[in-house]
Amino acid sequence: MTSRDLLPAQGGDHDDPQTSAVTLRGLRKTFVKVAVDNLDLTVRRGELYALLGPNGAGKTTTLRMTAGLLAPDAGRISVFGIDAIADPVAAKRITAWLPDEPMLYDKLTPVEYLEFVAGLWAVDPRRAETEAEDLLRALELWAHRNERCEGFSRGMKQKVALAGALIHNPRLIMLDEPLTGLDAGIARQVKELLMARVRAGASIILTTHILEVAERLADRIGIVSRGRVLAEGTFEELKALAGGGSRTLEDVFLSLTGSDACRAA
Amino acid sequence: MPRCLTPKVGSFLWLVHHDIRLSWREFSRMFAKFDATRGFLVAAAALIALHLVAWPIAALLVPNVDEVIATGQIATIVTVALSVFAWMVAQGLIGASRALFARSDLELLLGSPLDAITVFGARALAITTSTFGSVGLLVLPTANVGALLGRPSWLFVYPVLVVLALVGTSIGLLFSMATFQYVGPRRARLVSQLVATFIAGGFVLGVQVWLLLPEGVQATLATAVTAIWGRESRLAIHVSQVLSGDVETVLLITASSLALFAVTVRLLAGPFARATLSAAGAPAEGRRALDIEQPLRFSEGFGRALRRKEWRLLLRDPGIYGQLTLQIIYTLPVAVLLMRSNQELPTGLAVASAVVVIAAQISASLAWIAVSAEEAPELLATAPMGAGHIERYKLSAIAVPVFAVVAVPTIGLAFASVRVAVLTLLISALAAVSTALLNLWHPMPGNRRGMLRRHQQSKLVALVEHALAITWAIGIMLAVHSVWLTLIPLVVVTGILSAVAPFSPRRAIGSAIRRGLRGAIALTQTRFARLS
Repeated sequence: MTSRDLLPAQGGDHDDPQTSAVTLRGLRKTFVKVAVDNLDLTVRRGELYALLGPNGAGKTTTLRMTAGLLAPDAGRISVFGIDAIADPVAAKRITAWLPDEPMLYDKLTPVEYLEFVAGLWAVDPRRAETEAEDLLRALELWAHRNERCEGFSRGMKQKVALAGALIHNPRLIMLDEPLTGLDAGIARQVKELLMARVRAGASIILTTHILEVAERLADRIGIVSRGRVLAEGTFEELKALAGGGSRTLEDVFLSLTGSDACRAA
Repeated sequence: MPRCLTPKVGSFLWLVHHDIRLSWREFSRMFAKFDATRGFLVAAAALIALHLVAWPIAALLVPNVDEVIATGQIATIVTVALSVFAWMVAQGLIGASRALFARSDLELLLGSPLDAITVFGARALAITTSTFGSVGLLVLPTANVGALLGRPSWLFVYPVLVVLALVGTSIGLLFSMATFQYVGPRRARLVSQLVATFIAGGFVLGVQVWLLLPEGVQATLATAVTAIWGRESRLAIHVSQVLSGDVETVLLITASSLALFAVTVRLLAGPFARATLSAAGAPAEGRRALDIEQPLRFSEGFGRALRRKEWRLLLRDPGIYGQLTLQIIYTLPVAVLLMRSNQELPTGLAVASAVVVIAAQISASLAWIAVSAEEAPELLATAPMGAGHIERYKLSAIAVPVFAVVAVPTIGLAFASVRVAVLTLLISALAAVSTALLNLWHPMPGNRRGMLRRHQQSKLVALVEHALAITWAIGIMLAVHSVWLTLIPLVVVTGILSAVAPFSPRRAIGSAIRRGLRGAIALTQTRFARLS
């Protein structure tokens, strides 16, 4: 098996709006230098897809373009069959974006924050109240629901932001480094909540530097370097690609990104 | 910097050098678009311009100061000096409060093996420098011109300003620390900000009150002031000596202020280190969790959610009250100037002009807070709502507090003249809309705590904002004379806004960014580009 075998194929099954949650084709973005370079990627419905890559590989830029925060220089973005470039508002209705730094208002309480976010996504107030209570309880924030976020730890803030991202019951959830800086207890709560969403039918794309998380949680893993997908597949497929010596995802990751770096040199 | 000139690593001077380097880089960001040569030329041109502006002021002051020294009637000079000192104390307070609460690099420094006195001393010196600069930029060119006009003793203003900055910073630090100890970390910041606001605004208010007093009362008060710090008082003697170029006196007060500064640093270094670290980890002041299981009650609708969010954030930020109060205080001279310049002008009309200017400025500030100081721009940008809707709801949210501020004086005006009150309300609304639009078209991303410093980012926006406010202030006077004359300011403002709209960065960013909250997103993009 070669890395070409594990590159996302264009067209065919992968572009089928009935089976794909996200389809990115020929995505390109240049800032001072090229950040994303003709990237193709497909995330299937109901799967948790982990995007891995070295710093500056283009992971976050890819997700920000998918979330409608950055306009691509070229390429197509389809979210559940919706052209996210032509109709961003429709795509945003079913999407949630959680950056690595929580998007919070320090002077609001978790309840007020959730009320605000529910209002932004026009969630029915009665349904939002129930959803908010469930989320606050699941993330063990219920006891702190009327305290302002300004005194919260980073982990608590991340949980409030996650609750905000989930309150409108998105079909696509995109998370940038969602577990960085969280203690083991909070990280487990977040992981369990994400897995519950996947079981309920949502699709998740997350970036992470914690390879163990990708290895354990992800249905499929994409490895990105210098704006391109080097390889993607299940952990077993990637292991096979990297050769017999690779036992962990770390071995696979270093094997793939290292060789790419050598070729570049 | 040559290696031989680099201070010893970890020394007081090394930290001062570190602070100066950071401050210089912050300052030079304003000239980022110029290369070194052009930057130098722009700075030199600004310096020359400051001196040219100072020239007529100095020429006017020279004979007056000579006469004051000759007669010994220096009450006016002492009053000005005390006002400058009050301003510097306020700057010291603000600087101390920022140093205490802005975590920045203090946690790194205090967690290192450097002793607290070195760290605190360097930070205190940075505050002193900033305090000195805030006054020096205006005063020192006048002193230089005075020296060129044959009054070399005016150069003693340099050490005198250093003295005032050292003492002002010391008082600011002492007050901030005392407040921190007695009212706790969370309230200390608010108390310091409010006190600084009233000290700084006190001078402006004092002048307004003075100008409004009847001449008889003014004369009585002047006599009393002269008696307190007139010819015979110790303060007056020292001021006279400084003005006459007495080196010994200047050295004496410089040494005294340095001693006070050193003692303050030594006394406060330990408590400051403890206070800074505890301020960073201080618990939230917010309401405690309810004991009873109360069901959640959410309101409905995008617009309502956005407006409620804006109002909650405004109501819960006492720092904003202080800044808005200061802005209102600074606007009051408009009314007094109008009344003084034209004795025939009815008081109501002068007040109406001030109300219009206040409406314009408060609206501009709140629009900046709502648009440029949005804390979660990405959250709004990912919401399924067009940027236009978001902006409209945000502007409708700020209209309420602007109306609340304007309503009180307008009701007062209605007792004098209902017509003037109605016109004031209408023109205030137009003024508020125009400055809000300006801030919407020209976002200047920043932290909401820096509301009053927002104009540092764009002098052009500041200039246009003031021009709009003044145009509407003239507009209300024309409207009272004849409603049809309102067309004149309307045309002028439309012209100004049409002229600045094409330069809006929102248009330059392109259609892609229009989907989000454009100004804030632009900043995020820039940062991201740097990282990539």
